[in-house]
This record gives sequence, C-alpha cells and structure tokens, in this order.
Amino acid sequence: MMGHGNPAATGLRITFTGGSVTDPPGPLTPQAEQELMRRLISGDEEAVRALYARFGRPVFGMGLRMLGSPGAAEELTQDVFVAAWRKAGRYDAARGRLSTWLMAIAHNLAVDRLRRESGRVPTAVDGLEELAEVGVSEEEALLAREDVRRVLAGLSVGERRLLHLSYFRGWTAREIAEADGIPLGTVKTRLRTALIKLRRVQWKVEG
Amino acid sequence: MSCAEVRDLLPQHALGVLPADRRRAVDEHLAWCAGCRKESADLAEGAAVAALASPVAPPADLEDRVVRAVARAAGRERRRGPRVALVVAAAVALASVGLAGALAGRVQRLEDAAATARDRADRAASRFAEVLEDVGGATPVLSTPLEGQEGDAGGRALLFDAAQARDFALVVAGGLPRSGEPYLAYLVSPSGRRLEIGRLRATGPGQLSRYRFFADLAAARDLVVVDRTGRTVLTAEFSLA
Repeated sequence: MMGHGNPAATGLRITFTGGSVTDPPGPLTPQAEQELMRRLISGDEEAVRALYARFGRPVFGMGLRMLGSPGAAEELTQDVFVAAWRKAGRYDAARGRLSTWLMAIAHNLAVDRLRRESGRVPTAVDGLEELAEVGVSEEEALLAREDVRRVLAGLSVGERRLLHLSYFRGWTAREIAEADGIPLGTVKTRLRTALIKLRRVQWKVEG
Repeated sequence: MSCAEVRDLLPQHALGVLPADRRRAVDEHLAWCAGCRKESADLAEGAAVAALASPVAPPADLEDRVVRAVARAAGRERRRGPRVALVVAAAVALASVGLAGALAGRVQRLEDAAATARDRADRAASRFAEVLEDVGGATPVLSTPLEGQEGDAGGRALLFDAAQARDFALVVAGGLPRSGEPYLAYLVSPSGRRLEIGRLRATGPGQLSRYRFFADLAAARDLVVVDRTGRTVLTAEFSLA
C-alpha cells in the first residue's frame, strides 16, 4: 500500500525486462496498472502475459531462492499468477503499487509452502548469502534494477543477513535472535532499518 | 493492541513472518489506525524491493504454462456460471479467534438440531456464514458442498476472502466413521500440490466439524479430506476464491 499524493504515482517504476515478446515491460502509471488488473479479471490472455512479463522473473527468483528448487519455483509461479487473477478485483492502485501487491501474494504463498514443507526449523545458520549477490547476469538489466542492487549492497552485512533469514527463510525475529545470540530488540530494529532503507531506494528510483 | 505494540511487530508483519495470532491482531489494528497503516505500507514497499531484486530467468515455457493455468481456472469458473459476488467486508476483525470461538458454540447447537449428519454439517456451515454476515464481518466468496465418496458423509466448505487479513476457510463435515480418523483436510493448488490445512476434529458421535484459518485461499483449486489410510473421502471443487 502507499499513501495518497505519493510522488511515485507519476514517476518511473522499477521494471524488469521479461521473457515475453508480446508486451515488453515499460513504466506503468497507476491508471495503467489498474487497467491491466481490470483486463486480468476476465482472464484476458494478453493481460496475463503482460503481468508475467513484468513479474515472472522476480516471482520465479523468489521461489527459487526460498524453496530451493526450479520445480518448486515453477509451481509457485503458476500458483501466484492464478492467485493474482483471482484477487485482481481487489487490487486498488490508489492503495499501493502493483509490484508491492503482487510480490506480497508471492511471498505469502512461498512462506506458507516453506513452513508446511520444511517445518521451518531454524537449525544451522545458512552461509552469508547476500541479497546483492543474487540475481541475473543478463546484459538487459535495467538501470532501475541496478539502482536497487546498489542500494542492497549498501545495506550492512548484518542487515542483509537479517533480511535474508527473515524474508527469504521465514525466520521470526525471535528465532534470529536466538540463533545469532543478539537481543530481540536489536533484531527488530535492524529489520525495520533495512526495510526503510530499501524503500528509500525505491523512492529514489521512482522519483 | 496499542500503536506501540503494533509498531514493534510491523517489520515482521511486512516480512511475512509473524505467527498467525499476532498477524491477525496487527491486521485488526491496521483496519482502523491510519498512522500504523502508513508505516505498514512503507515497510511493505521495502519488502517488495527485496523481492524484486532477485529476478532469475525462468524456463522459457513457464509463461505459457502460467497462461494455461489461469485459463484453466477461468474456464472452470465460466463453466460453473456467474461468479459469486466477490464481496469483501471492510472489517477484518472477523478473522479473530475470539469471534470464531464464540460462533463455534452456535455452530454446535445448530448441528445438534439438524437431522442427519450431512444435513447437520451443511446447515451449520450455512448458518455460520449467515452469522458472520450478521456481524458485519465477511461474506464467503464461495460456499461449496463437500461431496462424500460413500454413505452419508458430506458437508460444506466456505471460503472467506479477507481484503487485508489472511483468508480463511470453514470446513464442516458429517457422517464420517470414527474408524477413519484422523481425517486430514488438504487444499489442492492449481499446480496439483496438496497443502495440508488441518485435521478435522470430531465434535460428537457421527459428527465432525472444523474451522480453520489459513492463508491465501486464492491458490486453492480443490479441497479434499482424506482418512487415516490416505483415501479421499470428501471433495469440494472451488470455482473461485
């Protein structure tokens, strides 16, 4: 969700080049995002492809990162877009970006699956997998994405690690605190700081 | 829950790692508190950036599979007639254990008054939905029969689609023999994967009822109930979420 009067409403959106040739992604206004979702409600194939072109890669990337296998990531991606179709009638561009809305759906589904299938047992701490190092190597990366990467790289090692464990591994703040031996309050504060930094990046990109 | 308590939990809320009861409490607060809602929106945008920053090229044919999956879901709905009005109540307080607990008693009393196990289950579920509407909570986006494979077994599944809180389902079944316990309910996703949503709890001789909250019903294609041997004993086909 985002507030009204958000300068991002008329600004550049973070977009990604997708695999689709039917509708190359470009910046969308809130009105265009709303229209896209209106078309999606009716099951319009071109709307599905347009949505996929924009979000297929990040959704698949999230699935791969969280679930660990291409097969699971592919299943998740299909489920996410079916869920987006089913929920499209409730999307309100005035209340938030399409990217926030869709990636929240994707993340919820991935977390649910992660918890059900892995038991989410926070035992051995994963290696320091850093957000900024994950991604694609294609030349086609847009400037916006590079901006995001730079800012991710600007997070402290600790912040990246917390974000990774929490967002991509589904650990609660308490589980992280216990695993890393740091105070719960510190974990919460760092998580908030990391999220606010990321959001500022988006504002910078869109502004 | 106070604003300070909510703010303390909002980062985890945005990251999707809050336990269900706390998430519901936060959602209830956000439904009426604009200040915390703004903070929540800001943090959610930050989380989305993290998500968007990890794109990986999927297999080339995945786009077509996604298109077919949506077309299948849309086709199923068209075949089944007009879409049930997708009414989503503004109030999200509905998704609270307290209210559900209070309603459970009414469901039980209604169950007792009904004739057969199947009727009991069906009426209880329908009445449950009416009660929820009466209190201004949520309208089920789908009420679909649970078809039994044999005997008197049957029931009803109701799906509630919450705009901001987590979606939840109510499953009430009757006529299942005790010998088949424990009965487990699964959602079947569009990709065919089964996700366990809970165990049906017997509430009396010949009766079973269960209500259960869980996330993102939109990903559900069917709901099945299996007995202790894994045999499917009840099936509900969803045409929408």
